[in-house]
Parts: sequence; C-alpha cells; structure tokens
Amino acid sequence: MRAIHVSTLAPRAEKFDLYSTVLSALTWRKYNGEIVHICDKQSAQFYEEFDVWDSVKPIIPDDLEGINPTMFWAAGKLLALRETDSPVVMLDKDFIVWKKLELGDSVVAAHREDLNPGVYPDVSYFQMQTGYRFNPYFNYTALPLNTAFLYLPDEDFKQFYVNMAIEFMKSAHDCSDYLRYMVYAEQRLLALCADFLKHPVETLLDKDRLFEPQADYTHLWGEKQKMRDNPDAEREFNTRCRARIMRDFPGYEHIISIIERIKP
Amino acid sequence: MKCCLWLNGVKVWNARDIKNNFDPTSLRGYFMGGSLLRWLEANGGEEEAKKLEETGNIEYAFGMTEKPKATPPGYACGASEQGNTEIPALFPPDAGTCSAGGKFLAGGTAAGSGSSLAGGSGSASGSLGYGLYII
Repeated sequence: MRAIHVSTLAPRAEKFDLYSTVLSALTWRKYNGEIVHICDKQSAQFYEEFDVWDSVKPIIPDDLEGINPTMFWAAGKLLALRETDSPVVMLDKDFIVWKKLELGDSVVAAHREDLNPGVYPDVSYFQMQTGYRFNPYFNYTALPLNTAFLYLPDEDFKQFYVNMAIEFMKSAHDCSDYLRYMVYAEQRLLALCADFLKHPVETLLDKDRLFEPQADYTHLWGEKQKMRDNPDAEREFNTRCRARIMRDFPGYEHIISIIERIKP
Repeated sequence: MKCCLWLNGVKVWNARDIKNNFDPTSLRGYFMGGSLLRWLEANGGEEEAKKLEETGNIEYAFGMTEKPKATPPGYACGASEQGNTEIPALFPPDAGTCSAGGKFLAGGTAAGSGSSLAGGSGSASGSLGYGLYII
C-alpha cells in the first residue's frame, strides 16, 4: 500500500521529530510498502540527505495557494492528498505502524474524537467570507476523525473531502485561532463527508481505549511538548530511537549522524 | 481527472449532467478546492471551465443565470448573498470566539497541549502519546 508523508514550511530541527519521521518511514516500508514524501521546496531542501522515502515530490506550492499557514498549519496535507491518487495512506510523521495492515474499501482513520465543544465548536463559531455555505445536509453530530493515520481507498470520496476542506480553509477569515479552524477542515469535515456520502469508516483504535497497552501503533502526539519541556525525556527517547534504527534498519545508521549534526 | 463529482448526493461523470444535478454548495467546494476546472476540462466541460475561469460565477458557468456584470468582492462563486446557511446550534456558545473583525478573543482552551496539534488533536487526553514504549 502506498503511503505519503507530508512536509510544508521550514521544518523545526527537533531531533525527536526527525527520529520519529525516520522510524515512521522505514517501518512503513518494512511492513506495508512504498512511502512518498510530498513537500514544498523548503522542506525538500531540509530533508535532502534523508534517504528514507522511496521518492520525494516537492509539489506543494510555497504559498499554500493563499491559505493562511498559521491558522491552517496542516493545509499541506490536504493539498498533497488532492494531488495523490487513491488508494493512499497519509501518515503523520509522528505516527508509526508496527505491523502489516489489511486495508479494504472503508476509509480508515487513527481514531474518533469526542465532539468537545472547546475544540470542535458549533459551526456558527466560524467567521467565513461571503459566499461560503455550511452544507445544510451534513449531520453535524458525526464524531470527528483523527487523521494522524488516514487511508482513503476511493478517489471520488477523496476528491469530495479534500475539495470541501480546501474550500473551507480558503474561505475562512483570518484570525488567531490556530486550532478550531484547522481541526474542522481536516478532522471534522472528513467525518461529515463520509457520513453524508454514506462511505464506510473504520478506525485503527477505539477512542476510549487509546491508552491501553497495544504494540501496533505509536503516536507521539502530546509527548512532543513533554520532550520540549524535559530534555532528559527527549534524550531518552532519542537514545531508544537510535537503538531501534541500528537494530531494525542497519543500512540506515548514517541517518543518525545526519540528525545528530543538525543544529536546532 | 479520473473521478466523479458528488452533487446532491449523486455521482456525476460528465459535464452535461451537472445542470440536472445542480448543487452550488458542492460545486463551489470543488471550484475553491482547486479541482473543478481540471475536472471540467477532462470531462467534456471545456466551455463551462472557460466561463468559470473568466467570471468565477458557478450559476453563470452552468447556464443557470445571465452573465454577471461584475463580481462583488468576496462573492466569488455566485453563492447566496446571505452567505452562511443558518444551522441550528448544536452546542452552547464556546468561550473562545472570533469576533467579526477577525480578532481572537481568548477564553476557551483547547484540550491537550499545543504539541498535540502536530498529530491532530481534540481528545481530552490529548496531552499524551500512545504506544511509545514499543520503540
């Protein structure tokens, strides 16, 4: 199964993030097949020495087609999906799949999210340009889908979802809310579109059992901030990643020295 | 583009079928999302694509209205002048909100830490990762 990693804007040179990216790509290749890095020119330059992907496609425009990059920091993922044929898996670079997946005709996301109104407010919250119309036929109680992992098997559905999401991002008034608008476009519209078109959806994990022991998936998620706040935690994580790379991917030990010489 | 358009919940494969399934909300989405012009050019809608590119007006491009004299600012796709559709509120008003002027008024805090943004956030327990011990 073909997967994509997506990078836009100048990446932060955080070692834990880079180790996670490397393990995410190499582990995908080990168990599930091809992975392509879709990015903008800046990111392609930054990752030039990282030979962990099967190919690199710097096709995301630097200006994100006019989308506000602060509000919509993950816009590149939707632009990349628009240009990538289904079936395709989009994998966040902090998400690692440790087994071979059997994927079929359903959309598969990492897990559902509760409709917490602090994060997923009513649509009346959003300030949109004239002409934008919230689809009156959507069921706005559909639970959002976390897209740290996203499998889209069907081109017709994928184009509907990504176009509606890109339209939302291009139609939002600029403001300093960098969470609610983004997750509406990426996570909530996915669930709304799937529900509207009656497209089957599955998840890798049950949202109510995310933190129970399992050995199939790693998602750094909020641990990133913990590592930023706690250098010992980051050192320990990086050490474990280096050991994993050396043990499982001996042909890629050179990546460790590349990461270690990158200055934050 | 090898795909259909979903209009009014129906699959449309050819430009000539758009008028019979006219759905300005979805068409605006495909247009603003960047796929409609390419789709029209690949599926027998070269003329509609040309009109759309010229005016940005969905209704005009598909023969639903006369050619507009001028496109008012922020009125790109011929959508209803009333703008957003009224949808009944599902939740009580949120503590944080964008004012009409675009200024964010703090108040509501996102569940999870800022770092949870990187992987998609939202869960009340979003300050944690999962499966980290596997590494």
